[in-house]
Amino acid sequence: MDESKVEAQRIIDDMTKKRDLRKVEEMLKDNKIEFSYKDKEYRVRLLNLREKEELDFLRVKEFGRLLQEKDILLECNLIKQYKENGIDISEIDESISKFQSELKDLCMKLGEAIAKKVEDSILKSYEERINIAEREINVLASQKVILLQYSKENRLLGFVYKCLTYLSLEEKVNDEWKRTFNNMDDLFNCDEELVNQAGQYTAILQNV
Amino acid sequence: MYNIYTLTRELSKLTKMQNLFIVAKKVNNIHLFRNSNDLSDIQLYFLSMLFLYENLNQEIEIEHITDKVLTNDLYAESYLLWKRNKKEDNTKSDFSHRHLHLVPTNKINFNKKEGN
Repeated sequence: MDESKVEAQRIIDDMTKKRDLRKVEEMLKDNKIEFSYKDKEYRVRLLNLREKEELDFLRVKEFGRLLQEKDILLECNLIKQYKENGIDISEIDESISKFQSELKDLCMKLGEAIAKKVEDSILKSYEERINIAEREINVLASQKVILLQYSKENRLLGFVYKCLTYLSLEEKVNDEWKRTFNNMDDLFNCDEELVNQAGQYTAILQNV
Repeated sequence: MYNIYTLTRELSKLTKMQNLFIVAKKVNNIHLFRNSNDLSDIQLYFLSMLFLYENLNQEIEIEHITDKVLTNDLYAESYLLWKRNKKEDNTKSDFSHRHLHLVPTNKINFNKKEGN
């Protein structure tokens, strides 16, 4: 690539970053996030007390329903079944702990090196070792998440995020904000892309 | 989609945001957010990042560290982790050498109120 193309790319990247920073700055100003989708204005917001109670009610109801399901196992039972088939989740947990303590140790050494203002090459070598440990932790953690994704607990978590979207998504109608969904069925029958976008914003605003 | 947490962190490093943060702490009617309570998760994260970089800027100002930490998130986190642990160790060793004698006694003389 010639020099002018590199420079042009740098300018584009810079402009994109500035635009994204402005968007995030706008999002941070309030505990509500507004967005447009297919020429309509939407927003997600934090739940009020009544809505939090509704969320709890839906969560308990869904957990009761999941308990009746014989084909979906609780996490502890799923772990037992994996162990019988030769996959030991506790071994994954132990490996994660081992790498985490190695990671903390390396970070402490890096921190001390920064305080002592040592040369860059030493800092870089710590950085590389930390990146390796982090990668190992990420691989193991993803492995565990994949193995346990079909547990009752995970199903419940997915459902709760859908409930959050159902309760917090509003659309602008004649300059007034109104709830987009009247019930959970409305959400399941709605445009999936809108639900996903709203779900991402909801997760940024509140933890379950 | 851009990573909102990475960009929030980037924002918190900006001089403009750091200045606003310092002024908002000192001047009553200047606010960082439109809402004064019910902070969202991302607003809480932004606040924690503002504190983190304020702390690092102070360390740079008194020359404990160089501004290298501002260019690398890992360096920033590691330095603060080390500093916090060092502080905890110092606190522990301070207490281990201190002998407190808190023995109940009737010999404490309180100042008498005037006119009594």
